[in-house]
Amino acid sequence: MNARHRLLTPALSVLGIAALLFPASAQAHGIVGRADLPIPVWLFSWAAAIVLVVSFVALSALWTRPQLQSERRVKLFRVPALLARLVSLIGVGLFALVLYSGFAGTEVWSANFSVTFIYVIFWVGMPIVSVLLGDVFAVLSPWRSCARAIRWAGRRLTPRLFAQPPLRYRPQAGQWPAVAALIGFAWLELVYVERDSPSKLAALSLGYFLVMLAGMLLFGVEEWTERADGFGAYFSLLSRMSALCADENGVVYARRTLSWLTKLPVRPGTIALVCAVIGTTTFDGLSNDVVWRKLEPHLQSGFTDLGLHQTPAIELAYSTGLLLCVALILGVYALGIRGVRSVSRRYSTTELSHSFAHTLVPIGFAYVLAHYFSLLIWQGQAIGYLASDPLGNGSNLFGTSSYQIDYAIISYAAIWYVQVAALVVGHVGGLTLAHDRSLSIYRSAQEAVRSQYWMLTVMVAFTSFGLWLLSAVGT
Amino acid sequence: MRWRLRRGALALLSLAAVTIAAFALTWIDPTALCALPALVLPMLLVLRRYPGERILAVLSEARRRRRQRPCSSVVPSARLEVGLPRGGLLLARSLAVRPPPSAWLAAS
Repeated sequence: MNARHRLLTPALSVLGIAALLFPASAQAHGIVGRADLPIPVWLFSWAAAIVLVVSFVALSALWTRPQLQSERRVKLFRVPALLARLVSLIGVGLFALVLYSGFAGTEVWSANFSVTFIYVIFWVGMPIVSVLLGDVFAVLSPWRSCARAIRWAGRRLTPRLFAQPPLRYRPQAGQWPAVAALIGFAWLELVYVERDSPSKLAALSLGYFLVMLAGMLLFGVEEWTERADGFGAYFSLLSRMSALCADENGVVYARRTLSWLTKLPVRPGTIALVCAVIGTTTFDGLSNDVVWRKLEPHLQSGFTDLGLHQTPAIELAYSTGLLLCVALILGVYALGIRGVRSVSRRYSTTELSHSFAHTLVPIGFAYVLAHYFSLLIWQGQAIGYLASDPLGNGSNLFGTSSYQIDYAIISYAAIWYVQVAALVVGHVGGLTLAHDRSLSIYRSAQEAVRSQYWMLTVMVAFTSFGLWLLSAVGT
Repeated sequence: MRWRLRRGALALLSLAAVTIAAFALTWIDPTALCALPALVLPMLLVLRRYPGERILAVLSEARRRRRQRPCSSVVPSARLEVGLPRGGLLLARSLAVRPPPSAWLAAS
């Protein structure tokens, strides 16, 4: 080892320690982020980067053989078919309630069951449930349950007609329809001016239900769920992180956490799907940030100058921001992959981007958890009174309509720490998956380690960016 | 061409790092310092510097070698030969109140 190399590590360590010891306390109080933090946000970012570097070193030194590439699972128990059907019925019932409350209930979003249920319980709660318990949405999905029921009834009444799906799903289409659906939902949540209107939400939900039902009957239930149902594909993707899984017979297995992600089939659009998860969440944070608030009026006036009215101009400006965020995430990943390729020419860029696509999934979940945690904790409580009064007309079905949101249930600082922990753990998970994959695809240990320097850079970039976004919200 | 690309990337990264450092040092926006780790790392990699690579290789190799060794590092000692009594000696041993002395004791 030469003198320059010998000096570099201690020098970096000294810099890091100095930064931690002298956190510029005078400036620390100048940051009035969401939590009035005891130390500046950038120190959190640096500390997170140090955690990632330490994880990288530990993985390189101690994790010398691929551990996650093979699946080992242990049978736990069998879920009774009756229980699975009951859960499916609950899913259909909840969907019917969303439609009913949306169409028949008050137009005040905070008093209507449908808005909170869709944006908080479904959109934020379901990813967490998927990571904890596996692909629960596959059983709960109302469109899948209805399509299966129709197919079951059809096979009994006209077996010839329902023996095979009438159309064949084109493999080239891959998961692009799911990407479109996911970005469409994010657009609805973040861009659409009337996103809080319960009747509009109910109408759109019904439309989505009908499209999904038609697609499943025409192309096959499982084929369509995996490739074209935005929510089905998204929750199924996250459920691969889970330590639990179930087969088609309802047998539940325990497996190594993250191990199923290594078997992720990368179809056309899969990488875009993962980047859409990260990118849309990124835009949700960015749209509350000062930078966007300064930039957005310029974009908006640009569209107004083209002859558009104010509302479409606002929506177009926000749509541009949303798509740019997804493109930014795709760009960072593509740069990282190009860097990995610079280490060895053994694999093409496409092969490498497919090989490491699954490493983005824990990052996507980390972003979702970090970003929406406070929403789930606070606004999620509203479901307590909305369940008793779903239409907002003063009914009290379960006696909980007087329940109120307790904002003191968790402090701002605690939320911040949960967010930081989620981001760091998610990125360490991504790094672990990338390291494990590199060991399995590269013959030389040097190539494997060098390739991981690039993945470390990608993870550090995503962590720093995520922390900056979180700190900027509400500044 | 590749070197040109690398130089361009390095210049861009350096410019971004300097801008951020300027922002941070003048305290216009100290939060900009968040981005520094994400810029410093690729700068090193673009220069084809992999800091600590050799140490990692040594540690990884040591770990691999340790794994390749047999599970137990204790060398099994030579088995103690136990001469079991047979035939007449077995009869004598079982009948005797006190067993006959061991062979080496008798020899001595």
